Amino acid sequence: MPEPVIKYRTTIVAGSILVTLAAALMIPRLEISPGLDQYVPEHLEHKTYLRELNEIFGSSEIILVMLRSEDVVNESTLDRLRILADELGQIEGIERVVSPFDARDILYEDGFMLMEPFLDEIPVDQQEREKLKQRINNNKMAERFFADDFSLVSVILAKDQDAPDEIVDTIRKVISTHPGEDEVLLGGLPFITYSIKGNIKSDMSLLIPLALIFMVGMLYSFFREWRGVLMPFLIVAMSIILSFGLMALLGWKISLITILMPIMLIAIANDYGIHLLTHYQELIRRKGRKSMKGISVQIYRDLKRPILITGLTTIGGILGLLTHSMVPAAHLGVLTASGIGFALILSLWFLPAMLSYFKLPSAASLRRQEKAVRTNRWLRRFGRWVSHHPRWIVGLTALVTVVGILGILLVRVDTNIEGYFLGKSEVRRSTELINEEFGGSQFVSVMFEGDILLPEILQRMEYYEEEIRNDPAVGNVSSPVTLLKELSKGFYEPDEQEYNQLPASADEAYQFLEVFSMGGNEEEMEQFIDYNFEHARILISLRDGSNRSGKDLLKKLQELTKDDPNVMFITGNGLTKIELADMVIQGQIRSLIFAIVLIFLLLNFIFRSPRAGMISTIPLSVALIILFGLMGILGISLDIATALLSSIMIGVGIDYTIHFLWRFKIERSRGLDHMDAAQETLCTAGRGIFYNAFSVIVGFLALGISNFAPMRYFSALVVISIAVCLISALLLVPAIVILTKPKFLEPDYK
Amino acid sequence: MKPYSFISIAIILLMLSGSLKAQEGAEAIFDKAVDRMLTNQLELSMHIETTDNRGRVTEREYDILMARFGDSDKMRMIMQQPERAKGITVIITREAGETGVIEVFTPSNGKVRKMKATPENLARVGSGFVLSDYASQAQEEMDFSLIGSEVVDGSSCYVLEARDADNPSANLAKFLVEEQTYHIRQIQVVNETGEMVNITHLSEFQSVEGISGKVYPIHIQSENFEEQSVTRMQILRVIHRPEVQEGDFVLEPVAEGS
Repeated sequence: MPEPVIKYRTTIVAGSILVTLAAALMIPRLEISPGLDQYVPEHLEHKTYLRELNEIFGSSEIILVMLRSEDVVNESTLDRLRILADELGQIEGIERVVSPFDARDILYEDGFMLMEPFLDEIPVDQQEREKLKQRINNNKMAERFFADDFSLVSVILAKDQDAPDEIVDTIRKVISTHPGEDEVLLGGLPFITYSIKGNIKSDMSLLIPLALIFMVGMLYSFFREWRGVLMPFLIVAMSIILSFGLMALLGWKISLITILMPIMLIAIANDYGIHLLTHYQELIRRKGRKSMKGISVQIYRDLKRPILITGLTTIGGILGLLTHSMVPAAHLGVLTASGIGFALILSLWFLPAMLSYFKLPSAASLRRQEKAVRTNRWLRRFGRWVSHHPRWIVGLTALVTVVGILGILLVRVDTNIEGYFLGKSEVRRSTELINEEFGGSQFVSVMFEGDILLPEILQRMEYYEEEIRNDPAVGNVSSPVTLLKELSKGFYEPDEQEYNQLPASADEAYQFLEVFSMGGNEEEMEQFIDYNFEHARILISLRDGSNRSGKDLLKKLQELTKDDPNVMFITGNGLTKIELADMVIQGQIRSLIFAIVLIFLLLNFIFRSPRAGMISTIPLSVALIILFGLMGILGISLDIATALLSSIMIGVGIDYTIHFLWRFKIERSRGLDHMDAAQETLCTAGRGIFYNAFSVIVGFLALGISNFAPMRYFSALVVISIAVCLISALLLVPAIVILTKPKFLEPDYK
Repeated sequence: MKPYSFISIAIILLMLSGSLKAQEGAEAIFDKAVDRMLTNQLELSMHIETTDNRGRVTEREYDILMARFGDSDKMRMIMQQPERAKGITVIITREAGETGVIEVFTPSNGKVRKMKATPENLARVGSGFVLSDYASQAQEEMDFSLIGSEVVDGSSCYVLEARDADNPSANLAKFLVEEQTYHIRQIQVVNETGEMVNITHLSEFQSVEGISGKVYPIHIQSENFEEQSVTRMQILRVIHRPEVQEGDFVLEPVAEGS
C-alpha cells in the first residue's frame, strides 16, 4: 500500500497552494505601526503618567520644521517661515504651531507695557538684520527658534496624538508649495517614527527578496539542480505568506519587532527541506533501481521523525516569546511558530509529494551533483579532525565561553530610536541638528500638583531648573518660572528689584498670567501650566537621547525632588524607552529560560534521557553566551531587534543539534564506533546542516545594506549566530558525544 | 480658553449704537434693533463660563461699565472672580480714527500698565467672537440687506446680512432680529468660504433698570466653531448709569504698602 504522501499527493499539493493563496489574499489588509508606544504595555508607569501629562498639557508629539542657510535672518527666509507657519497650522491634526512669530517682546516702555509680536516686521537691510539678531539673543522666548550661529530657524508643530503619521506627507506638500533657497529639514519623534515606517516598507520590499535571491544562489551552488533550490525556496516563501496572512487575519500590525518574522523564517523554515533534499541526493547517488516516487517515500520515512522533533522543539522555543511582556514580541512568537508549523507540514508532506512528480535527474545533473559532493571530502577530513580532537574542542569552547561571559557584562541596552538611522539620511542629520542646536526632540517632564503659583513652589522649580541645566544631556529647560520672570519685565523697570524675578505672591503670579492671557497668549502658557493653575511642569529636552543619559537624569531628578510634596511624577517619551529597555532585558531573560527549559524537557522526553536534554542545551547555551559576549565586546547595543536574536539561535541551534544526534544514533545502530559514527554523521547530516547554515548566512548578508543601523548590526549578528550554531553542532556536539558516549545514543537504548 | 470674548460683543453693540445711519429696509430694522438695547452709559455684572475644545471649564465674573464721551468709547472691567484676580481692572479707550489704549491695573503690585489698543490687540482680546473684525470698521462702510426670515425658538425673525462695503467677499455676519420685538436673537458669522465660524444666541431680554424702553439679554451664548469653544454669559445685573463720568475710567497706581 503506497504511503499517503504519494497516494494523496495531488490533494496535498493543491491544499498547500490553496492555504497559501488564502493567506496571500489577507496580506493587503496589513498595516505598519512604527512607534515605540505599542511596545509598552498599557499598565506601565510611564505610559500612564504620559497619558495624564498629555491630557493636561496637550500633545507632546513635536515635529520641527527647520530652514537652513548660511544666515537665516534675511527677508526671504523669514517671509517663507511666516507663510509656512501659517499654512502648516491649518493642517488637520496639527494642534498648535509655535514659531518666532508667536514670541513676544515683553517690556515696559514710555508708560506702556508692550507685549508686541517679536517678529512683527521682517528686516530688509543689514543694519536691521544685525539689530534683530541682538534682540533674538536677548529674548528667551525667541532665541530657542534660532541656532546660535543663525544658520537654522525652526517652526514647532504639536501633532495631535491621534493624527496619523502620514501628516508628514501633508507637511511636505505644504512646504513644496513654497519653494525657497533654504534647505528644509524635518525632525522630531513623529517624523522619526514616520521615517521608520517608510524604511520598514523599503527594507521589506528590497532586502527580503534580495536575501531570498542570495539564498537561492547558495542552494543552487550546493545542490546543483533547480529542484534543490525550488523546494526549500517554496517552503520558505509559503510559510512567510501564511504568517503574514495570519497577522492580517488577527489584526496585528507590522512593527520593528514583527519585521523579524520573515527573517526568522528564512533562517529556520528552509532547514527541513534542505535535510530532505540532502537525503534525496544521497539516495539518488546510491546504486540500484529507483524511482522518484520510491525516493520520495524513502526520504519521508527516514527523516519524518527527526524533522518532526526539530520542528516541535523549535516551535516550543520560539513560543518562549509569549512570556515577553512586550506585546509585539509575543506576536512575533505566535506568527513565527505558525510559520514554522506550516513549513514543517510542507516539508513533511508537500515536498515529498511535489518531488514525486519530477523525473529522475539526468546523467548530466548527476555529474554536476558529484562535483558538489566534493564538499563531502572536506567534511570527511573535518569529521576526522573533530573525532580525533574532542578534548581540545571542549577545552577551547570552555575558554571562549568564559570570554563570552565576560563580554556579556559589557553589553549595553539602548532603545533610542534616534540611533536607527545612518550617516547622511535626513533623519540622522535633522536629529543631530535638533540635538545640537535646539536642545533635542525628546522630552522629560517634572509634574507638579497643588497651588502651583505659591512662591515657595515656584522657587523650588527655579532651583531644580538651575540644577538640571548643568547636566550635559539636558538641552532646554522651561517652566512657568521662565515665563513669569519674563513677564516681570513688563511690570517692572530694569532698576527695580522685582525686574526679572519671580512674583512675590501667588496673587501677583496669577495676575501676571491673567494679563498675559488677555494678550491672547494662552498657548504659550498652556505648555507649562494648566488652565486652572493646579498643575505645572518643568519641561526638559534631552540633547543626548541614549538610555544611559536618560537614566542618569531620571536618577538626578528623583534625588532632587524626593522630598517635594508637590512633585507628582517624572515622565516623558525620553523615559518610556528606559522602561522599555528594562522590559527588553527582563522579557529576554524570561523567554530564554522558558525556551531552554522547554527544549531540555522535550529532548528528555524524545530520547527518553535527561542527558539528551543536557547535551542538546549545552551547545545552545554556549552559542548564546558567545553571541551576547561578542555584542558586549564589539560594543553593539542590545535593542528591541537584537534582543530577539536569541530566538533565532534557539530555532536554528536546536535543529542542528537534533539532526546531528539523530543521524549519529542511526550510524551507531549500523555498528560504527563513536569516532566513525561522528565522521559519517558529519558527512551526511553535517552536509545538510552546513548547506542550511551557509545559505542563511549568505542570505542575511543582504541586510547589510539596510537603511537601519540596527538591521545592519542585526545582519552581522545573525551571521555570527548561525556560524556559532554551526560550529556548536559540527564541533562541540560531536566532541561531547565522543567524550561522554551517552547511553541514549546507543543502539540498545530503549 | 478665551474669557474675554464678551468684550467684543459689548464693543460691537457700543459702536453700532452710535454710528449706524438709519436707512430704509435692512438698515432701519437693524437700527431699531440696536436702539432697543441699552448700549451706552450702562453698568452690568456678568458671569462667564467658558468650555474649551478639551471640555475644560473656566469661570469668571466681572463688573463692567460702558460709556461714550464724544468720539471716545470707554469700557471699564473689574474682575470679581476668581478670587486671586479680584480687582484686576481693565479700561479700554477707543477714539474714532485713532489707536486706543488698554490700561490694566493689577492690585497685587499696585501697578498700572498700558497697552496699545491696536486692531490686532483688540482682535486678540475678543478673538472668541469673530465679529470683532467688523467692530473695528466704521459702520458707514457696512452694507446691510434683508435676505429673508427665519423662526428662532418659535418667533419669526428678520434675517439681515451685513457685509463690508469695500470687501464684500470677506467675512459676513447675519443678524436674526425678532419681528415683533426687534430683539437681536442670533448673530452668525460666516467666513469667506461660507463656513459658519461663530454663532451667538441672545435670550431672556429684560427691561433695564433706570431707563424705560431699553432691554438687555440675560443669557448670551457664543459658540466658536473654529476653536470648538463655547462661552456662556449670564448678565447678573444691568443698570442705566446716565451720571457716569470720564473720571470713572481713570486708573491710578497704588504705592507699595498703601
